[in-house]
Amino acid sequence: MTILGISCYYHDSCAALIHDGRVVAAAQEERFNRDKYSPVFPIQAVNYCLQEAGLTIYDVDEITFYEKMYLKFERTVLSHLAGYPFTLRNFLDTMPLWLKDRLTVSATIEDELSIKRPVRYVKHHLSHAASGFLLSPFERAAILTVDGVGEYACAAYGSGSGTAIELRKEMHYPHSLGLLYSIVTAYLGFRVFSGEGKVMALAEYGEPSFLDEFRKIVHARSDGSFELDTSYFSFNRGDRMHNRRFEKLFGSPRPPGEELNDRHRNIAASLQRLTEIVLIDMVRHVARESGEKNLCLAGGVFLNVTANSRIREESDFQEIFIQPAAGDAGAALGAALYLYHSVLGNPRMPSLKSCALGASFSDRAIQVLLRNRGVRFRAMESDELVAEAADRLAAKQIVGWFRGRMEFGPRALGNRSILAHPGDPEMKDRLNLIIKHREAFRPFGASVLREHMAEFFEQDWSSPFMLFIARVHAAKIDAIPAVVHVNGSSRIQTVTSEENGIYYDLIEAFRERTGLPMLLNTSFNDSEPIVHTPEEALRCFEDTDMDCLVIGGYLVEQ
Amino acid sequence: MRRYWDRFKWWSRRLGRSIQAVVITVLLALVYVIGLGLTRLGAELFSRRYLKLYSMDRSKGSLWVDAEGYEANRLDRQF
Repeated sequence: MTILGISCYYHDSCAALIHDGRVVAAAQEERFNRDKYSPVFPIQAVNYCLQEAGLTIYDVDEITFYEKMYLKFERTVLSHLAGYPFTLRNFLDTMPLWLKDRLTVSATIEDELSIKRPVRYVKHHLSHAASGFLLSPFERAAILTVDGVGEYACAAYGSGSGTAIELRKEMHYPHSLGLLYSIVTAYLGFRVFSGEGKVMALAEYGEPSFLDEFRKIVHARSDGSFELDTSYFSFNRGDRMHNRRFEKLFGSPRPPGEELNDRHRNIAASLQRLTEIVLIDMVRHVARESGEKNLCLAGGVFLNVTANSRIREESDFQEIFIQPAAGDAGAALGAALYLYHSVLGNPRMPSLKSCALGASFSDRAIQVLLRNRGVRFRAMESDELVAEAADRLAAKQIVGWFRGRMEFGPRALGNRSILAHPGDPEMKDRLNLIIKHREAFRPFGASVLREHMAEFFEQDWSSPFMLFIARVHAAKIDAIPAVVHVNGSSRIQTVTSEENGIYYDLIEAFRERTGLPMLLNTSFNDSEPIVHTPEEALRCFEDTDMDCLVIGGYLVEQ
Repeated sequence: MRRYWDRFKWWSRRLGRSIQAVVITVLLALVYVIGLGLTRLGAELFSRRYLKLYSMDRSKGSLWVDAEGYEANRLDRQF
């Protein structure tokens, strides 16, 4: 049985393929068309998934779509009705998109894929829930999903047992934590979808001195539900979602590119603190309601690693699983999983241990590229590559690392990474300014050998998908300054030999040379989606100041 | 000659697309002003619950509502 899952039209278009009881491939369309967070129909991702499985489109038995578009359209029309007559401009902007393809998903799929198959529509938060629970290691668990908005729901909770998932309660638009975070992200002059992570990072430089102001617009209940005071917002009324009343409370918005000041930092800190408070209340409520000891989280809000870590520390749950592509890309996979397991009754797959579900490239193809481009390169055996790369990293060189299958989700986890020495105090600025060309306040994460976690961090827990932070022991901060954020924590990927193979070997080799069981790990890109092909990796390498590139079985020098 | 013909076709397509965009915009504006306007009037007179999307109710103890529409036998529908 082959099931193709699709998400598209808003952000993070994605295709995922289940074949013969396993997830064969999943990839975001942005990696192919090089348009960050691309919303377009993921035809290239679909083609990749089929190619990876060695199948054609005619082998696909079922197609799932990650939300119910008519319901979403209904909510959209109601929102225009409620805002009439001030929503005309937004109506004129969005209706053509609905008429073009959003209201005709089945026909669009048929046209794009040249195949007639019934399309199964899985509700948005159910797609999220399935992506979290059905890939988790838990036989039973509570489930909480929180995002911007699906059809009507902005959050939902329930439980999963075996292959069954039941969502019992939901919270409706416009009372959305994800939406609030995005509104403030835009208010602070950052781009929505890419800026939320920046706001989270910026928050650590401020104080939550605007918390009282946020409490005026977010009326929280003790069960984690809350009401947004909509008089501070102008939904569907133009370019901005906040209004003058919001600005009276927080001040004028920051134009993009303007220098950040304490007010901006404090607003970010206050938003982050409020988000954490609300999420922890939600999780505690879910714990009480479900009686479960395990928790699965999904939805774009759970890409907030700071909040995730507080949940992990302060909730009553023993174990927590967050699917690495927690946003809408993961929902494509979730919709397919829901059909496969929960509807068709197929037994659960082994839990997700690796999100390397994207394309890999042969050494032969890489060699042809390198020869054609006339670059300096050497072929090396794996252990030689590891030793050479570890030597260079120990010498504080910046190494591009392109090996194996591309990761699914927003994080680079050792297959499409830029690696550096975590102990170099100047490395953070060097990477931000010269390689990544991004804001100086943005921190870097670390890939840490799992067995050495407790030596450097207060929390000794697994974090294979870099979805948690951990506090660095005070005595160790000076040893790894490049990966320590201003609040003394680091975003962590824990690495094991079983799951990470040669990447583990590399970090171990680095540890032998330096005593540090970790590497600074950032995604292999420069103001673009993470590199997908060897050509893109080589171009990024040549356009930046990386010292060398490990690509397949080759070492490339500048 | 061919070059002029190709240029003519290019400008014709551009003009056609512009006219199409204007027509669609005008039609949508009419749908909004008249269609949504009448619907709004009807909702105001007969059923205000359709206008409550952005209403607040501070007396509500909880904003969690019963989840609906998640039945497995509804996957063929978009609602």
